[in-house]
Amino acid sequence: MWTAIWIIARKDIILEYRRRWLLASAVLFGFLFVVVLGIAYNGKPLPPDAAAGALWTVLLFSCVTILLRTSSFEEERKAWYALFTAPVDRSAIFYGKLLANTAFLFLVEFAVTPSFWIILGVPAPAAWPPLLIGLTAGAVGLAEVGTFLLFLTSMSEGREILFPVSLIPLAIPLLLAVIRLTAGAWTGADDLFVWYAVTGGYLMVFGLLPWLLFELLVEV
Amino acid sequence: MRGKGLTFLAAVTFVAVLAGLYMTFVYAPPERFMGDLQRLMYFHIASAWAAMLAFFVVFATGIGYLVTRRTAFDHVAVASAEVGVFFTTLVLITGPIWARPVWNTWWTWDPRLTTTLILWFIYIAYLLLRSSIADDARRRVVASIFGIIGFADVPIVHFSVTWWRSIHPNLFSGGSINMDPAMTRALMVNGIAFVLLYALLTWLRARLEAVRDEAAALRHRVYDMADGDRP
Repeated sequence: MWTAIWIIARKDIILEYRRRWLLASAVLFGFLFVVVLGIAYNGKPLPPDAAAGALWTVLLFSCVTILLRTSSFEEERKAWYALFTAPVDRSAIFYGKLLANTAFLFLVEFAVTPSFWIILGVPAPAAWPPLLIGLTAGAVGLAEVGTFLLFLTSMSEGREILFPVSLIPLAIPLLLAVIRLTAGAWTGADDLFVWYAVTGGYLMVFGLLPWLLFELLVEV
Repeated sequence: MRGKGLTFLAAVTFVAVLAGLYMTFVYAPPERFMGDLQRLMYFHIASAWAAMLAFFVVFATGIGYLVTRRTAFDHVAVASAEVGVFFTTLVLITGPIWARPVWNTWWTWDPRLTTTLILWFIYIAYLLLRSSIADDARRRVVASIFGIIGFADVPIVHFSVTWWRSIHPNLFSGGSINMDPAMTRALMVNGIAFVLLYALLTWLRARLEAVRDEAAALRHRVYDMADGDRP
């Protein structure tokens, strides 16, 4: 099981590494977004709450963009069919994809975030753990819901629009929690326990639900 | 038999809705501070109950379909989701109309408002996703699964938003109801009327879906026969 997950994730990471332009474009997209925000805020420094909200708006857009593209490999040449003939537990395919997608989102998030300090004049956070945990949990959580919804919407004719339209409402609790954590990192608030709990609960629910439902989803 | 049941349900719903209207506009006293405006509450809360029931039914029939693969479950699921979105829309319309004079704002980020709005988005996404998948078997499975994860998300949304902020009037606290008994009775009658209305609309819509499936199956048979005739 673990080997299968790792092999599938490694395959995806190698393929993405070979066409580096995709990840580079996603990071560039994030930077451009930050520049537009800087212009929109008229060069004024952002207060912490606004900065946390703006950061996650940018990251959400970059994540949706990258998730929509990473699965295109399998579709272009109908490689799904080959992948599903692999003699492994079906959910291993899901968790392999999840692992690879988490890695991509992680990379994009950690590449885009520093531009907030540089371009938007946001001060360095007062506390690092909430920011780092928030970014990590955001990457894992968005990858969890995102990967599952990518499979769910793969037969839909309007996937490009229906993927974000179904992802965002389902991800609201996660987004709320990681935005509070990120804002807390800047204000130095120490009553963040509840948001760690929400994040943890969300990651658990959406990490385990696919294990129950994925088999049903891919059988047809 | 099915026709009789439907007629019976329609008749009961008609009476219940009339009774609900009477209770709302005549029987219930006007509220001391909000006056007649408060009468919106009977429709607002009754719609919210019907909507919650509707989304629970989408969840339950989703599981039912995945376990038994009987299309009847899917017919009820799509009907229930549509009717649920309709009732949620009513909640989201009546809420701000009431809130504007009372809270002095159309919208506020209260947990129940936010949860309802997110629910609305989730089930609109559910309906859009359904209508964008052409393959029947595939659509049913995808919709069932989305109905399950959407409903599983509801408590998480609710708790996370509750911890975020709360100013909603609490009519039911600590097991007792903070209302005039006449108002409570009016609300209960409206609650029953709206649930019946939900059941009736869902039944009709599910039947339409079943007829649509039958028509599609017949059409396929006709095409197959036509193909068979060709040399």
